[in-house]
Amino acid sequence: MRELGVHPFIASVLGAVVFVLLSAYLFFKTEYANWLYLLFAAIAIFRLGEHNRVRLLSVLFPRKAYLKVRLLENLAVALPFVLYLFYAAEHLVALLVGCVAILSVLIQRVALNSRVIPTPFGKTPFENIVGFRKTYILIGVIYFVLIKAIQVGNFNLGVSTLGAVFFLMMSFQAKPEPLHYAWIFSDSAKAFILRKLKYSAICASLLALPTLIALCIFFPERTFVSFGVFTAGQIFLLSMVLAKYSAYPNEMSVPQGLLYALSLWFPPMLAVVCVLFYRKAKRNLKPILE
Amino acid sequence: MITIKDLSKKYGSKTVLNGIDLSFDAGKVYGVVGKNGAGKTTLFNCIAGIERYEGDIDSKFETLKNHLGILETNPIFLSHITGWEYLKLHCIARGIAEEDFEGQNIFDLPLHEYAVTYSTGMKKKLALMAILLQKNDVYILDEPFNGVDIQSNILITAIIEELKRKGKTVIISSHIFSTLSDTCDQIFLMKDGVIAKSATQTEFEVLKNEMKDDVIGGNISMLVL
Repeated sequence: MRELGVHPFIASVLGAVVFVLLSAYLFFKTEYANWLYLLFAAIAIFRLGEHNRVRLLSVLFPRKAYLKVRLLENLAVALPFVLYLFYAAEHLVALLVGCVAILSVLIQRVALNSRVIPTPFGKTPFENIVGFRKTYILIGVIYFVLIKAIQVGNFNLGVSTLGAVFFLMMSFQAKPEPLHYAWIFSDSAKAFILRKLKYSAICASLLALPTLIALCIFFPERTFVSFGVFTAGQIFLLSMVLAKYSAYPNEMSVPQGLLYALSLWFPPMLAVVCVLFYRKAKRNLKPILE
Repeated sequence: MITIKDLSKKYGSKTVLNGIDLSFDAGKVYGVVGKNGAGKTTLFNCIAGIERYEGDIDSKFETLKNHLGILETNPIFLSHITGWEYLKLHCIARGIAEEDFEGQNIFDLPLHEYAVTYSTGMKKKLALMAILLQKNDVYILDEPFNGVDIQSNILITAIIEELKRKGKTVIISSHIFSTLSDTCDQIFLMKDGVIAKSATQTEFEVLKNEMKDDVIGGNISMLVL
């Protein structure tokens, strides 16, 4: 924030105000905001549990101190969510958020001890395997929210879990892989991009289809909307893959990120932006692959 | 098989490789020695096409990198990827439908554990196994003996000899001269981005003594022990 010319104190106050306003809007907009809130809190908490970060902390601190540090940071992130949930008289969900914050410390500690999590993407390239293993609990939470949505007959909540699956899959593509992991392929730049797009679409389908099928079965009158969200999710995901390689081997620059965010906000722009990203990705990958 | 002509590489104003001419034939093992920063890894990266360069690198292959496996000094492993998946990725990348990795697990690696949890030597062996499974024609092994136990050291030497017998080109860098003199047909000494000396098997001992004199010289007396 200091680098952007905003004093950290002002940024904190602004952040808190925006958080409260968005929370109020969410609770005003849907009566099942509590479950969405649980999902958002879980995403925020699990972001702190990034493997390399957790590994570094476990090396830096003795076991007890490590657990304290991880617990404190998880609770610090969970606190605003918990406070708002108590304010909204959602005591059970508030308790669940607290449990996620505590349990994730212990679960990620176990994950550190190299228990291999099976994935549905056994033979496909690594992004989805890594992403799935990092976020499998979150995926569980998404499916849990979907079941709750079906139980209470809330289509909007259900369809938002479909969006959440794609959002999660997009996060798997957010970080560029080390150069070696692209260099080893004997594909042309075009074939490499098409391969990545194909596997992303297949893997996303594997995770999203159960949600889509459930929505079609339990909300048959809204099948059209469910398919619409599924298709939009696939398009957003594929555009994310193109966006990643348009900056490769570097991370997306601020202008690229802004352009991409703008096109997500106004999807018709994606048609042009995707073509631009594809051309840029081909240019970036050509010297590495050909 | 690989011909390098007038190869130069600069990082900003710093010249790392300066007009290198080399050729590597099939069925031969070549060693590259030199102090840290002499330009060995940069030379390897240029041959592999990982770095941009000035000059020419020609080979009988249309795209050399698709026939080349490089073992990096410190191979990078992603978190949450098992050894088996790492090997599979390298095979998929070259269109090889191999899956019997346990049957070829000569280093006895725990392939179903996360590769990031391996020791330095195990990581090196896994990365070596990956490029061997790709059935490349050219192998660049940057410090293949680093952090590897004595048994594996012997095994890697045997693998290099087998690759040579199969007509592959192997280029190795090592800081342990004996590992090179045991396996190489020719050794190049790199100094400040140029090939300062080249030695065939009969000249290895002379090269070793020259390097010893150059490195030790009067330097040892600088240290108060």
